Amino acid sequence: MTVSTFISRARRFTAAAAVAALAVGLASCASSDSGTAAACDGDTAINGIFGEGGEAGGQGVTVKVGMLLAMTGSGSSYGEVMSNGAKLAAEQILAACGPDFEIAIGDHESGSVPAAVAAARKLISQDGINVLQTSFGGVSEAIIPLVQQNKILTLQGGGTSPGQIGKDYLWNTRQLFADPSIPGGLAWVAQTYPEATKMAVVGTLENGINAQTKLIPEIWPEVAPGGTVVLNEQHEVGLTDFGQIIAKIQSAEPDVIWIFEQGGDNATFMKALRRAGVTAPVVSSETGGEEVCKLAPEEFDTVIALGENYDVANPNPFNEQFVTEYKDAYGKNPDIFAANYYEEMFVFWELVNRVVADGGDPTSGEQLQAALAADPTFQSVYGGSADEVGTMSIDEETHLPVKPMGAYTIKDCQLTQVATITEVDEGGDPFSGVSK
Amino acid sequence: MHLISAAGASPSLVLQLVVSGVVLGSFYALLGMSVSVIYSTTKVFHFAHAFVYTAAAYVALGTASVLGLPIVLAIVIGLIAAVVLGVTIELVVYRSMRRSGASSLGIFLASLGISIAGPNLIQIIFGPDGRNLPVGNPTLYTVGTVTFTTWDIVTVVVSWVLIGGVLAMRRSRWGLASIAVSANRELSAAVGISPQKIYVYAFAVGSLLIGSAAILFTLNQAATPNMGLQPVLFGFIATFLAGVGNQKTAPLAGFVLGMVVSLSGIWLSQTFQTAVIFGLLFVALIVRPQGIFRKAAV
Amino acid sequence: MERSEKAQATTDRLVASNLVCGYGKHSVLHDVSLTVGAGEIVTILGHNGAGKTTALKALFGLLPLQSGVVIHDGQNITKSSTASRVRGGMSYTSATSAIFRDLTVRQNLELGAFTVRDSKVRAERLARIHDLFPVLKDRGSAVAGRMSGGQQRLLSIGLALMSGAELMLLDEPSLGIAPSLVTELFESIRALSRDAGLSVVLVEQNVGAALPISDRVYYLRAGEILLSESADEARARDDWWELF
Repeated sequence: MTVSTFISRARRFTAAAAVAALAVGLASCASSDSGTAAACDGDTAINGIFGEGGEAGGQGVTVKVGMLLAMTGSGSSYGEVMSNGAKLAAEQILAACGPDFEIAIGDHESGSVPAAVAAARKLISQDGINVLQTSFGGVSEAIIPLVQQNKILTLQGGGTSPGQIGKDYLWNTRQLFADPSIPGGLAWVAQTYPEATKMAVVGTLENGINAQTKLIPEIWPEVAPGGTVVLNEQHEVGLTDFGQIIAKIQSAEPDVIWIFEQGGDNATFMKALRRAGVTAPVVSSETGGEEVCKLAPEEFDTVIALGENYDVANPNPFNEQFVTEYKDAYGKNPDIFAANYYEEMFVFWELVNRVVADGGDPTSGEQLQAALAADPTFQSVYGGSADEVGTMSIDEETHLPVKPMGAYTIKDCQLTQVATITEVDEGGDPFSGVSK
Repeated sequence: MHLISAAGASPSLVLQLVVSGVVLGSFYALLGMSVSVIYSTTKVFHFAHAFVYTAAAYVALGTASVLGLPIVLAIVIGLIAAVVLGVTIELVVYRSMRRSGASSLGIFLASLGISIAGPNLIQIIFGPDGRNLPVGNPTLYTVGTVTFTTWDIVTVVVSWVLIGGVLAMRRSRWGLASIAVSANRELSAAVGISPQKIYVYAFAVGSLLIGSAAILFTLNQAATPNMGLQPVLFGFIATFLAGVGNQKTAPLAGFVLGMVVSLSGIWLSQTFQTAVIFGLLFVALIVRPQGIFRKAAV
Repeated sequence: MERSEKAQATTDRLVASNLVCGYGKHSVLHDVSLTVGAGEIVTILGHNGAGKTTALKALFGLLPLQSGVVIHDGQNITKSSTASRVRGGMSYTSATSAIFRDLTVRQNLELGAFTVRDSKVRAERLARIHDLFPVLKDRGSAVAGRMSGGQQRLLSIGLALMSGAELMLLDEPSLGIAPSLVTELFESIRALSRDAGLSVVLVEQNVGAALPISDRVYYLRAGEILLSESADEARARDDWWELF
């Protein structure tokens, strides 16, 4: 039992006691205020992209959307941005004369399985949700039987894990963490730092574990002549003292460091690393977004983000209006998680439209999933161009999405793409996965 | 899986881990002292200490970044807030619960409730993202292969100065009274000590220490709404390692804990940190339930 | 000095009238009245569970009274805190936890004088106690709980004297010490009473040891005072067990 699970158990124990009443607001489930935007004019920026709404656009239909998020605990910043993205989408869709997506949020306390199962049960049986957006790897795997039994179409945009591949009723809009970008990414590192041989790998025991312990040690020597992994360290999420790991890095003297950190751990690690005088370049498979970067902006200037990355500056019209509206509503730029849970809501809308067009029941998870499987391609805030909305498609077999990947440099917490990375089939040439 | 470190015990690694251990151990010593001062005297499982910790950091960074006060003043205000909050919790919650005959489990649950509700409140006000105190980067010092920063030095010095201060206070009238209350509450009352006042004293001192720990942590890293539970847990572990009621050795136990955690890195991956900590506690509680150090007069 | 005037004004140092007291709703003392004069040693005799210890705790304010009045040196202290009773010259020595076992002898004695602000007075008292019980001086830095039972008892008396008590409430001072020491201990209590005008309320199972030093005796049964008589009268009885 880890410290964090010990705490989360203790937390739940208390929540069950009378003191739960003290836990103001966030600890319990909260309904969204999506019903406030009563007026719709069918002439919003959204209507320009998704059509004018109305009866064919699901107007008058109420769909209850559950969200299973980290609202408390060490990952609560994820829960906030994910719910922000979804709430904004629900408001925009209602204002665009689309269906009324009513949001109910359940808290999995940053990855506690018992909390997740209890929250999912409540969402299904008490809140009567029709569809679900889930997050985190372990807890989402745990609720798969529940969503399958109750035929709840579930979209996962935050923590795709091997246990969530190809599952009935569960569709991923985020790629398997890190894995697809590793071969091309390593090839890019080898090209960019031709002198580098010694690599250190640091990360949590979460979704990056396959990339960390298997892919990198296998592929790095292939792409870098004389390449070795000199240090491979795992730690718990939410570690506050990196002293021990930094000491090992100093001792191992790597030429390049590859990290798989979650959220704020990125900032903690980068601060500790640079303050200890280690100057080796750092490649991060998940940078944790802009808010995390702002905790250590100077240190992040030395990080290369690699993999699936959401680009705030993408001029695709769907994305442009999203960024503008999101900033208006929440005062900061959206990150990958805000974007994923935002566009998942539009996936739901598209599916409702399809079911309505076929004369079906748009609140039936079974019919919604059939509509998804029939044509799993959707408009997206990723990709596209200034003139064209991007698209995102989900593989029918694996239920994994295809999204653009890249290598990005960071300056003042803004990403600039320096290379495009594509997935390489197993055994394929890693260098085929890089193009500048 | 690379759970056993391949780095091996090179002399430079060992030296660096010793230095990291001194810094971490000093911090844990401060946590141990803080929890022990309160627990040994009042016997309250004061988990709401986690909220006091978090509040000290957020009041300091709130006054520094929102009101724009100088950082030193902001830190002082943060520490005052910690003391006021800790004492308020004792006076408003624990004392009234004790008066109405609440069990120690009931008081513990109330405390745990505060430790959850408080950070939630902070999250509502400040948001879930981490926040920095507006201070510059520390200077890096290199001695041979070993490195440490200004904040490392500050952490070690401040921790031991505060611990030394509390231990010196034991010779004062208040200090002696708190030792007496922790040793025998009923007899303390019989010699004319008011345990109620001593409780307030213990909460004030303990809150000042935990607030200082929170400021040290935030200088080095960032404040988050959930930052408090782990340090308070470590403070309790140090308290139990030292033997409950033994205030003098609690900081030493905290220091040993930090050293062991750091030096375990010679052989073990960081993944085992929690296992090392709880393993140490487990063994200590079985082999030496009276505390890991030779028992002397408290 | 004010107090000694008052003590002269009333012959009784302590007057307790109609005390009713207990734990929670369950009352242990039903109607207890007693008086203690200056320099007098009063012993409360009774079976286990008769309420002897409860009576001492009630007199000292450790248990709230349901009804009744306690007058100490002419002042009504019924509602006073324990601390203010200590300042007023009263002390209580428990049968089971009369000393701070984990603290040194010296710390114990210091704590005994906790309510005394004047360090000169504290030093004088310490010197007097060191004269009375030299062992407490010799073993000043010893951990109290590691001393012999008899030495711990002496320390408990010393602790009470450090507070400047003129009225001592002693619960079973003979408990757990060797019979030869009991006589010695009781002799020193008698001497303190004789020489320093100390008043004592003694609760004691060891009737044989307590009666020789007592002035008066109260018999307590089931929370009520059954009888009060002089110690001489009590000693004359050979059937006093029947009173219980």
